[in-house]
Amino acid sequence: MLNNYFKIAFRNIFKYKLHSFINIFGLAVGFASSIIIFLYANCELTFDAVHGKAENIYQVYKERITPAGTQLARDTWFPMAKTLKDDFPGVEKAAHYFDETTWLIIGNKKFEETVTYASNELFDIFTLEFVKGRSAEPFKNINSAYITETLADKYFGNENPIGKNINIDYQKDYTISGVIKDLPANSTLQINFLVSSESINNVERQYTNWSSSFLSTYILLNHNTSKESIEKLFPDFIEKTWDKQTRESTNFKLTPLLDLHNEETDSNQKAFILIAIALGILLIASINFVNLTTARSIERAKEIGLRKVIGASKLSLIQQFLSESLLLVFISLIAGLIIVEILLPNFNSLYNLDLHISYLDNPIIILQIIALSMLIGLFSGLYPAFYLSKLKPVDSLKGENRINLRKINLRQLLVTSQFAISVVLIIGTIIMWQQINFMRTADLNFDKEQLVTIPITLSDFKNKEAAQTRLESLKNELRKNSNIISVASSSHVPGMWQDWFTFVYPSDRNKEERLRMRIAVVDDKYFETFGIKFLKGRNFDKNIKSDEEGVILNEAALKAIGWNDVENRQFIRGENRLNLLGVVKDYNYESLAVGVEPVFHIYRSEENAVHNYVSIKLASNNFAETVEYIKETFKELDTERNFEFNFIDESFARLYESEERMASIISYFTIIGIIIASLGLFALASLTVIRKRKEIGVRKVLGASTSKIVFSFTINFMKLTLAGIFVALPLSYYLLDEWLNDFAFRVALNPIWFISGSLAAIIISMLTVLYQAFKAANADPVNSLRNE
Amino acid sequence: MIKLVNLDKYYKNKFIKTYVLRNINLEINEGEFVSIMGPSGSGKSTLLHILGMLDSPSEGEYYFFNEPVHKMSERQHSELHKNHIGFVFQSYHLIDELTVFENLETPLLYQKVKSSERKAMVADMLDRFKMVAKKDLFPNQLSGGQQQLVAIARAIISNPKIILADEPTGNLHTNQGKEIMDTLKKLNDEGKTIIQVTHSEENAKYGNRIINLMDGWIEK
Repeated sequence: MLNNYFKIAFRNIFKYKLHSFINIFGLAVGFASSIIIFLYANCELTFDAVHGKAENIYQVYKERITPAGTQLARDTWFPMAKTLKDDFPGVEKAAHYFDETTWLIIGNKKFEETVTYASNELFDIFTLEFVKGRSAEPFKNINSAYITETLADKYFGNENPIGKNINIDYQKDYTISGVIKDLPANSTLQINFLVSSESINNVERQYTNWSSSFLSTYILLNHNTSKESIEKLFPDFIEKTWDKQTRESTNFKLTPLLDLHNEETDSNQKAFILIAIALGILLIASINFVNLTTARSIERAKEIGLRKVIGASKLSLIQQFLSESLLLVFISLIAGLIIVEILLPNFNSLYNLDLHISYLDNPIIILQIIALSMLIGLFSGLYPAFYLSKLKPVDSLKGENRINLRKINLRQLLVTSQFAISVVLIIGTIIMWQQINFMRTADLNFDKEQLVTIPITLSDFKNKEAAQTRLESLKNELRKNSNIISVASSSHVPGMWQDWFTFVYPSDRNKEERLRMRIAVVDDKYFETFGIKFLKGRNFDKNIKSDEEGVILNEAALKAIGWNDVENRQFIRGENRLNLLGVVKDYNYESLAVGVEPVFHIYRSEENAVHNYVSIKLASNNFAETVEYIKETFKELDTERNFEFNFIDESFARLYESEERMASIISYFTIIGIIIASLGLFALASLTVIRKRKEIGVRKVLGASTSKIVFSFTINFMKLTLAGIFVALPLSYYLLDEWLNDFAFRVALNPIWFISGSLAAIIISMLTVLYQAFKAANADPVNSLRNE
Repeated sequence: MIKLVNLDKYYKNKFIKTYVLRNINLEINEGEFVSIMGPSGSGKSTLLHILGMLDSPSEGEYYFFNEPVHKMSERQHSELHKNHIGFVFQSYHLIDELTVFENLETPLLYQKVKSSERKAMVADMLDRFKMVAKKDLFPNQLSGGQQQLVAIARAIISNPKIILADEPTGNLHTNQGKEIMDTLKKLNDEGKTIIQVTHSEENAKYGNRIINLMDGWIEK
């Protein structure tokens, strides 16, 4: 029996090639896009699940209670991990780590690398698999180092890395005693080169250091201990470690490892947006399927009637149509998986991802994919099956299709929802790009053009004093070049701003009113080089000795304090008293997705070791030449390393990479969705032409003009398009307003975008339908009438 | 075998009833070859469809082997004509996507006949209608007469008691029509009850009783 069904199904597929192609192609592309999206979303939603004990792992973080609300910070203190383990019941393991970008010296070569300093229980909390040199007691030898497979390959190739010596920063020697498997991209913990945090300089001093926080601390709770039971103990702990005042102004809390990535990056929202788009595409493809199958029922009515006459029951007909749609869906699935295999490598390299379907390692994914396709098959096959099996044999044998007229409403509803989905996707894409474009081109309140920044720190050099002298003479040499406008040194630069906070309070207020502010150390040329404008007061002056105790705020900082003027204002920071010298306009030091927070600029002269960057403002003429000149000059400074030259405008562009990636993924899938929807519309229009052939023939015989027929034919589809737009407009307004609200600086929704999105949909549907309409209107009426 | 009592068929359109069949009383015995005649629109086909349970009467009673058909559900109808009734249509109505062999096989599939038995029955039928060579052809590769032969073969393959034929020769040339009528006659001689709708006096002569319909009434 099934055999017979499949035979008919196959012959139908070949007989109606265009419709089969549209069905199979649409579904296959729908499957392929949604499988890729699901893989991506799955990677995001299972972030950190690679760690076997993830459910019981928590990160410790602190919240600073300020008048402006709570501020969250995830950096903790060196002794924290050990204290948690020793003093908190239920904490089975505790570990901390911090990363430092530094120089690895291997033989006579020097590489810049991120080194992770961690305590040994890191191995008990996170899942780190050893490839070589399994170690029961990691860091038993304090100079042990563990490297990942990738790094081992990069530095040692085929040689066995175990036992090799590596020096960090000309200071400490380590011996590689193990190679660990690379952690997948969806793990918060990322390791290249792992050494013991006990091996840092003067580690004994750190054992009681509760003043500087620079590490991430993770704990593993036993199964019976809840997050809350630990959090309950924190206030007393804070008071014991610091004082009562700190207890009042600070909360300690735990973030479950499995929630950490989402809390940091809002990844779940992105994943769910993408899943919604995947479901939208699948829905569009399934609607094509339903529409084409029911629309073709006229041609199949005869077969159905006949089968009923020769003894088919309703059930067996339902079975037949369901097995047909399942077959089609299955063919589409296979085609879709082939498309995935072809496209995934491109998708991965385009977006720098590592997605793959490991069919063999993960049989569950096969079941999931089959379940998904069964679901789609049932969803898109069920309605046509019930609809077709209900046809009355006498009517259908006569070629009449009585229930058809009534059921057209459903088809219209489905086409309308296809349009609605497409229009939401089009408008969404337009607005996402508008926001990104806005962020890229917005006035940052400083001049980001022709600005080169070179990360350079004195600690990078073996001989620091010699390096300092050379660096200063180099800067002076640069200043002599007529194409270089100015050169500045600073601890921070906009576009690559790092978190560094300080606590200050105005000298005329209590210590309790202290504020947490971002702090940056700059020299006297910083504001000029970056073109940051002063609103009040003056710049630092290297000739005024007391400017070392001077402060320049941004507007946000002034506002946070509540002052209007800068005269005779002083701050207390730690033990020091600082004079307010000036206020600059709020400039965007970070992505426009986040707001401008209070920044506290303090002054150190340009040769100070605290500066991390040299920034150079170039003249607009001879730009390329000047850059080349700068590169040549820096090469003389240190022949062993390559200097990184960052253009500030490019660094800012990089800040929007994740938004751009999201928008470009969505654009691709929007185009796919629209193509599938138009294909469906095209096929539906062609079926309508077949159904109306006689009507059109009669109208032509009665003297209707081509344009009239085209008009009456198109107007019906246009109504559906407009209905779809009508649904899509408020929906997209709501969704995109929500999305934009996550940006500190957002575009205002412009009606033009909604209008152009709608127009695009109208034009696409017009073009799709017009072809069929003209074909129908130009057909010879004699042929269409004789056919009856 | 078949008994119709006071049977009416009408279509209701708001307040107007349009009658297609009026007060039909009819009895047909096993082994008869009945021809239903009458002008277009007299209700011949509707009567045949009601007899074949493809359509149901508006009023009146229909007994098939003394069973009250007018009280049965759709499922029971489907059971009855699956087992007892074979249909032949004017325009053959074969399934275009299936070969001759597969068309013949389909009714047996619905009767859940086992595969080996099915093959034997189809082979037997092909042999009887001298169509073995054509078994893998599709309907559109056959002439009209051949298609109608296949349709008859399909109608009798499950060994029904009664064959209902709706103008079986209407689309055929004279020679082909004669061959079909001869076949039906032969089936009648073998004991099948046959009811045909026809326009042609010639064809009506193959039967042993003629029922004349006029505007829905049986003419006495």
